Amino acid sequence: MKNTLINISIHILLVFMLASCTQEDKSNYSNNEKITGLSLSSNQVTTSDTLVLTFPQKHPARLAIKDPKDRYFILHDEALNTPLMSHKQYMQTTTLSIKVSKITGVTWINGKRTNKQVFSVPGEYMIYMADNLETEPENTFYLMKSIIYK
Amino acid sequence: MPEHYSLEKDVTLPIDIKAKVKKIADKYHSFTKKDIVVTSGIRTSQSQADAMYGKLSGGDKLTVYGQQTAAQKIRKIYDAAVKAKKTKDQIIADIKSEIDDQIKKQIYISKHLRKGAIDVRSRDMSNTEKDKLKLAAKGIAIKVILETTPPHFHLQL
Repeated sequence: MKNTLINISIHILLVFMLASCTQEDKSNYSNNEKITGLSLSSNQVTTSDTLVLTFPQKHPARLAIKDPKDRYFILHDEALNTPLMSHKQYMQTTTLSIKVSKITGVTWINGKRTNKQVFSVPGEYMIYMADNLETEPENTFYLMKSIIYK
Repeated sequence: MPEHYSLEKDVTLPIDIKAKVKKIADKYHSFTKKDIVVTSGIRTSQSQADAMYGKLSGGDKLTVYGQQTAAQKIRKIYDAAVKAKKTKDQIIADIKSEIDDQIKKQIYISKHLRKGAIDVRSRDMSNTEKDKLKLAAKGIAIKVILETTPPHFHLQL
């Protein structure tokens, strides 16, 4: 967990350094706006991989992953105090780099909140970013992409 | 008497719908001693158009929509507006106008464009509590659906 946070912190720091360098450069900001949708560094991962998520500057406020058993793990939600990063950092970044073996998320087991490792069973996972994680996708701003965990 | 329901940020409900939510919440509380959380309410065609613009400009093909004919019509309107180099506000206005036309024909691109549509938090409920919510809504809600993508209750009041 500690290592994950350090990895993420380093990455975010780099993203912020780059962002601050180009803050006044309107052409770079426009290029960033041209990134459409959510893209992943690979469409399949193993436990030793690092998953890189790239998304537009204007992106949904929450991040979750659905596993092959249809369980949702919330990685970022300001209201849930998820530990991934601060909400301000999350809303400013356009890239997330996370070690697959270290990804944890908030989930509920029979109504009880718990924090669990996300990638545990092989199969298709769905990365789901949405403004509202408790409504139908057609009723909120969302981005999603599936990935195979081997 | 304290309310046994709360509304998530940005959720507003008309008075008559609020009264129904209160009835369900009071019943649910009498069964479980717990309160309910309304996570989404009724949506206007303007906010639906804003959200759809966000999806389309992010490259979404709108395949998630159940009403595919209506969704693809909106996509075509978006594509035509982009091609005509319309501004963001003009494109959203075009989408809103199409959504309004669809509503007149009783075609709802989102269930939340219907009056009385709400979502209720289910993730913090045990299986027994989920059954109690269905029981509490009986006779008040027209429809209660336990959605799984992502998890929540959808109620048509």
